[in-house]
Amino acid sequence: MTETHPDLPPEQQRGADFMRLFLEHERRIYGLILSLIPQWSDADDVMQECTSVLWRKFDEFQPGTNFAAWAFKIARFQVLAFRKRQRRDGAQLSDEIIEQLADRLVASADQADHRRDALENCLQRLNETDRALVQLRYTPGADTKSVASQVARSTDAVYKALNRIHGQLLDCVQLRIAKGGAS
Amino acid sequence: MTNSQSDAGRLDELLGALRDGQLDDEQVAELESLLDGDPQAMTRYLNYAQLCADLRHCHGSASRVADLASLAVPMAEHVPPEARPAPRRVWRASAAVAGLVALAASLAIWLFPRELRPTFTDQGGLAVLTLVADAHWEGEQALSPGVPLQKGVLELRSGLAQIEFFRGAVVILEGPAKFELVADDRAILHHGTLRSHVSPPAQGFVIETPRAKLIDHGTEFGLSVNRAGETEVHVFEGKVELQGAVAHQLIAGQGVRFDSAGKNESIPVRQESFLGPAAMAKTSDAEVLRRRNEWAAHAATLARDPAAVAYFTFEHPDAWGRTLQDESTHARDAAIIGSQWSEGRWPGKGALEFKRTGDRVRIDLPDAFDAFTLVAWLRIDGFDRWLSSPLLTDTYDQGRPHWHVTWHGEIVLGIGGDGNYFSSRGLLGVADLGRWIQLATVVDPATKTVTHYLDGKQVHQTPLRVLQQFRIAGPAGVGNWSRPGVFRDNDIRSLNGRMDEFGIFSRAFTPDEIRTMYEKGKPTS
Repeated sequence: MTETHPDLPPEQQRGADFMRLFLEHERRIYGLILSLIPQWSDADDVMQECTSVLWRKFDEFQPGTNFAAWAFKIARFQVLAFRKRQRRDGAQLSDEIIEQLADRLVASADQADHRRDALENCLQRLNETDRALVQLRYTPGADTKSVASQVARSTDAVYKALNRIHGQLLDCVQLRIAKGGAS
Repeated sequence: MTNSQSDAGRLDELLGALRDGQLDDEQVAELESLLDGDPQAMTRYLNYAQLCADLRHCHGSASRVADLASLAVPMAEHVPPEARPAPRRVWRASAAVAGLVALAASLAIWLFPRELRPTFTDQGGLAVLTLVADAHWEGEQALSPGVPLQKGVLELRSGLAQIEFFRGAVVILEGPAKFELVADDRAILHHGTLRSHVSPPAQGFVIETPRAKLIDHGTEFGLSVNRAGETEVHVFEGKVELQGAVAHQLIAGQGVRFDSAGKNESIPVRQESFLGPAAMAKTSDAEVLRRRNEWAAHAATLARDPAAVAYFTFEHPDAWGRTLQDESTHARDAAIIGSQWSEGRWPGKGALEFKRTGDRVRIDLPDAFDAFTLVAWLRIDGFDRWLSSPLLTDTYDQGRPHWHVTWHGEIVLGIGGDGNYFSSRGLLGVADLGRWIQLATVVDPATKTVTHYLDGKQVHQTPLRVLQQFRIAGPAGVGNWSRPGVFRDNDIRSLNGRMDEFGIFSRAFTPDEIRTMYEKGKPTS
């Protein structure tokens, strides 16, 4: 799984290995966290914590074993810890559902490459306006309201449009993944 | 069934609220109950979350930047350049964001009321070609009725063509002629013959010739220019102002002739030298008959093709009008639901109109095959939704074809299972609405290609990666999707338009065969 760079000092080799593995699985780890903590700002915090835990504990990872499985275990633990801290405020999905979701996610095949290609392709398929809306919505710090004011439309109209675009992207991505990637 | 369908709709609504962090306690409970014990709902939830994660990620979300920044410090000196990840396909740099903001802001004002439909551009034009009779155009020009005409030169080798200028003047052009459109109220007749009718709003219509300039003041007149530049003007009604070497005004019953030196003389008016609407209609009828017969003869050979799995010519409705006769040797007649009979490519040619979302034709074909060709003559009247679909199998299982036109004008073949998604670039636009087009898609395992054709011409080809048996087996919908259930947004794939020929063949047609089908079937020559 990891290539070795025999000419590198061990510490640099370790950093290089981690970087490669982490970046390979980062989106999926983030996906898991976002599935379980759907508040984006919270999910971002957990992702950040999780990343630094992964790096700190990287010594415990056995090279050649499944990095994603190892990272997921840690990410799940971080999510549960966060949920315990947050329990007092706001409604949350129950632990049972969270466990079920996490199990399904971990068991599902990782198709990150297909997914990334499919998403890029599907984004290209959107018309310019839709694509621009997605771009605006996912600009760091943006929310539906800020997008609405930028495009001079009501929040509700933008919200509905984003719902539609998400549905469209989701269907498009799934269609493409089901067929083994983009044409 | 109904319950779980509305549940699916509700789930998507809740996911939208979730995305925006707006779920209240009650909605969380509702979401939980929708997810609980429903594997499909869970999968959708997870896919949705993953989509958001991927979108956030590829747009350089705050978290990612922060993550990498926090990692960068301890790691920077540990990571040799070659071990750093290859440049990722980050979607856009921030400089582009500013541009997009402006773009979105300006487009959104336009598009939001129409719910963010694709940004169609109409080429506009100066005039529209409305009728042709046995018209043959010079070179590559392939003009069929309904086509908007741009500024430029039309060369009609033979036959008649009626051109209606957007300002209101109507011209019947008789080939051979070279006619140049300059503006919506101005044209040049380089040589040839025309008859013009100008209604009151179009007064002031100008036609120039090499020797003269005519300003029309609400008339009907004939104009001919030979290749030497000799020009004749015959006024049948109203009056025409002539600006040449000498200014003239001609009234009904007057004619004038300019020789190549620009000298002019009065001549008697000859109505019969200039073909008008009646001649147009007569020639047009004769041409229609000829074209229909030519098409019918070719259709008969297609029907006998041993590879014809199903072939519909939309010509022989039964007494109920609810059966679509399969002309292939299998005679697997299809059921018409909702769709009404209407007129096809030619007057008197049958077609089915698909308008309402329930309109469809049902076919049921047992065949499996290694290669196939889909071909249809369609008149698309609107790109109403993402997908308008000439053919959809009910399920999207292994090897099942889904054939679409997207609202971006792409021709798409999707193959279920581990097939693929073969999409052309956007080829059709508003200018193609209301005109008859031929679509064909050929899947050829011998060359491992999937090829799309539009009007007999190859427009897209991609490699066929997965060789397999294709099946239309089980029920399928023509002009619509017939899978059971409540349809939302992208599931609504009904065609808005007409279809008057449709064939499925279990072999790969050659480019020549597709072109011949087009040539034999095109509405006008």
